[in-house]
Amino acid sequence: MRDLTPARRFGTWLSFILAFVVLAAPHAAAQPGAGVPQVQPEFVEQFRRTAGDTITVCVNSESLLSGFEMDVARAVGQALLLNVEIVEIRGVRAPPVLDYTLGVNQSELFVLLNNDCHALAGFLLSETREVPWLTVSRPYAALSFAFATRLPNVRSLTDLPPGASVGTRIGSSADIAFAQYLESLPVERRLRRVPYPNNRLLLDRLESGEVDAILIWEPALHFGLAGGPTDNGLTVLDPGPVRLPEQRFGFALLSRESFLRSALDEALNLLIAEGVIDGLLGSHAIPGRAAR
Amino acid sequence: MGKQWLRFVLSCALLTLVTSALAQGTVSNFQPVTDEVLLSPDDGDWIHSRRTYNGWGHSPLDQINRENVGELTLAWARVMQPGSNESTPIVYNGVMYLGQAGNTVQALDAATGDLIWEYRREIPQLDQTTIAALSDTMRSVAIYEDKIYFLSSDAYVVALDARTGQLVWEASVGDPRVVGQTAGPLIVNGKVISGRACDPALPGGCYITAHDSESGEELWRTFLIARPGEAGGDTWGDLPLESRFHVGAWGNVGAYDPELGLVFWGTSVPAPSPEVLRGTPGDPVLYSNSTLAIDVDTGEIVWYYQHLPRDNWDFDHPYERMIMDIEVAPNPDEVPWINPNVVPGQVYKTLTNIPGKTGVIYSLDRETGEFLWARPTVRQNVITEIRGDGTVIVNEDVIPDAIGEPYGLVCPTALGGRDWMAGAYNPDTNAIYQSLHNLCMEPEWQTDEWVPEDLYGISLDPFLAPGEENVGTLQAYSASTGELLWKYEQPAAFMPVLSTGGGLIFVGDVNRRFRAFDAATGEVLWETILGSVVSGHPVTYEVDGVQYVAVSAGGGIGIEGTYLAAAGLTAPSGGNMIYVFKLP
Repeated sequence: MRDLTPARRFGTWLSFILAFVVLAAPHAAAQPGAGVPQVQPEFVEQFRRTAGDTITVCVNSESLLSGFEMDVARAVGQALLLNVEIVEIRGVRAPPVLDYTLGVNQSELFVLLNNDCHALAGFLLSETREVPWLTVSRPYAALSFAFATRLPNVRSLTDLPPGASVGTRIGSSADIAFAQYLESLPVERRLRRVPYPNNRLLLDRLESGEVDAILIWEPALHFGLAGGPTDNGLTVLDPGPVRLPEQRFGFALLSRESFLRSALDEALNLLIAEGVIDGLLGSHAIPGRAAR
Repeated sequence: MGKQWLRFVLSCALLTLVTSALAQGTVSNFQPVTDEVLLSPDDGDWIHSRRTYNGWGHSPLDQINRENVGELTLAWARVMQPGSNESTPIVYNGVMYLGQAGNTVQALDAATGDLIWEYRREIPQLDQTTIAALSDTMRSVAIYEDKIYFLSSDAYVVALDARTGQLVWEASVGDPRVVGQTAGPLIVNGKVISGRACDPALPGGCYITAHDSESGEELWRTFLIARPGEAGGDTWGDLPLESRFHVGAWGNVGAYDPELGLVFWGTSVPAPSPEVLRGTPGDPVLYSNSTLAIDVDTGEIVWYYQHLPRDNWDFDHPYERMIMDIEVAPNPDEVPWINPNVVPGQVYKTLTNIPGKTGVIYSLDRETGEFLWARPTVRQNVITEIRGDGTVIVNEDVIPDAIGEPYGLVCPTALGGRDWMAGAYNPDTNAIYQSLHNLCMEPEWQTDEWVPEDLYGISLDPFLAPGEENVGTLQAYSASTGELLWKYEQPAAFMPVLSTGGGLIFVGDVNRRFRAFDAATGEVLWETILGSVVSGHPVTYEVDGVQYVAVSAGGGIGIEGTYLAAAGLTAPSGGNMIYVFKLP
């Protein structure tokens, strides 16, 4: 077990307060109304179960990050001196292969957080989406994307000849950034963007030679190839002028859980400062860093 | 070993108990539904999703009419399963077969609502949390011979014994987490024909299938995205097939012309919405937003007409089609787009109605797919012109040239125009009736990754169209001339439409009102207030000489809150219930 002594000191007093809040606040579930997705009341549990000193954390079992997310949740629980119950969930819709997304819409996420868990781990934080019923913790992990190729003597994206094909996972933030970069180039200097629906297809089409290079989520590049990119003869490219976006992951909670969110933030601050998050990323071989 | 044996025996006993509990009774004196009955149903029955193969949503019953509709009173009501409620009851020989949320089908005494049998499908792989049930929609079921057919949320075509509700066969049509089925089947010549939606997780798009009604064997599967190397395959640029997604047939059941041997089915949009993100700038992307004429025997696409190429706005066209042989005489004062070869006053075999979210009415020659005429209804600015040969010219001003470029004002919205709320045609007035919405939007780019529902890549929040005062607009148009006959507007959005031989149009709204309008004038002749959003498809039928009007309410359709917010209204969702009315 990791040495969480400083965090434990913090958690000693916090746990009393938090346990009281969780145990003694049978607050009614949010009623459909202003700022809340309209969901038939039959699907919304009207009273929260008393949880004692336990917080329930949902983890997307189909995410490449699920093992890491569970360990982060447990570490947070240790820091707060609370028990953590992990609920492994799947989205209603199938997620892209080798990815992190959870196939739920807003109504489904609302019901999930109301009925099944206090917090959802592995939630991609957004700067452009604001929904009043949802709040997020501070981010705890930052992950990114990478270009990769099998072509010899190519070290940078700018080494690829005009017209070379680059596979992307359609709609990813990196895909959008790459497409915007291409639009800034004269037509005759552009690479050819080939959007694919998932990261597995990117790796397969790079392997078969149907595309010259790929732009892929880094964890998929590492987990989708046994031994990682280097052992498979791939070169990770310098992105050159393309500014690859960084994804920041945290916990999602209902807005009414403001106290729990503050507690999570404090615990995450400690875990990051002590290097616990970086250690967990390393132990799960996830390319990324703790979010500062 | 002994314990295992005991467990087995107990399990069998429990299964028997459960099975018998779900099949409480038997439909007595059941008469098999023949092809002839499907072609020409009894006046008192509502036997297809839109009652007849022509998709009219019209019943000739006239016991309830303009003169007495004001006396309508509640005959019975019955609670339904929670969940999305867009249900269409099927009524045959005094029995109502009611498909509903929760993968549940009930046989009810159509005069009393008393339960005869119930089938409830277990969906174990989706049962982990409540969330799986939220979007579980069954818009209609179908009946043929001695079976009831429906499409389940775990992606099966299912056949039940119409007498007992027992499962007869089931046929998988795909991964339930990729395939969504809401519309329902159409039975033609012993084939169970059905459409669906497919997420981008299923590269290559979606499909319409035909299954043998007796055995469940899949007879043909027609894909809705043109394949590279095949006709229309170059309309997606150089995208590989696995990067062409989402075009489906999720909306309403299609129509069938027995003389031509064709079914007419509508298709939906590609994804993501912005063509520059999709990788198909300037390409029409077949067969999105089209009417397909499909050979019933082979599944071959005989002809297609694309109502909206280059979709950038989630403007689906997968709704019901209406077959009518009528004089075609579009009035150029109201109809801006007319084929110059149309002979005014000549009777054509047409498909005429509003097939998609733009709200545009189209009249096509259903033998050939030739364009006859079209006109806008609610405000729209995505189509600038439809040429005489039917070529649709889209408005380049509302198509971003680059990722992140603002769309500006787009009308109507991804909620329509019209949406899945089926319209109706009344042969006595030669008019089509449709619930429409005065809404516009300013799509915003999604610049990050959040949840897969954002498959369109843009946010589509609607607002009241500039210059309009009401979201809800119920409109009547001449099917021959395209002239607006009447419209009735109010803040609340209208829901599906029923037409009757009594000269009546029945329609509910998101604000709990259920009304009867004079089909000729649009005058409100009767109104009642129900428990929640009147989201079901109304039908009418006759039992023992008494005409009934049935409609379900409850909502759960995921968009009622948006409609209400756009209109500044509040109304409850939930408490799914079917209400049945008759004269005193």
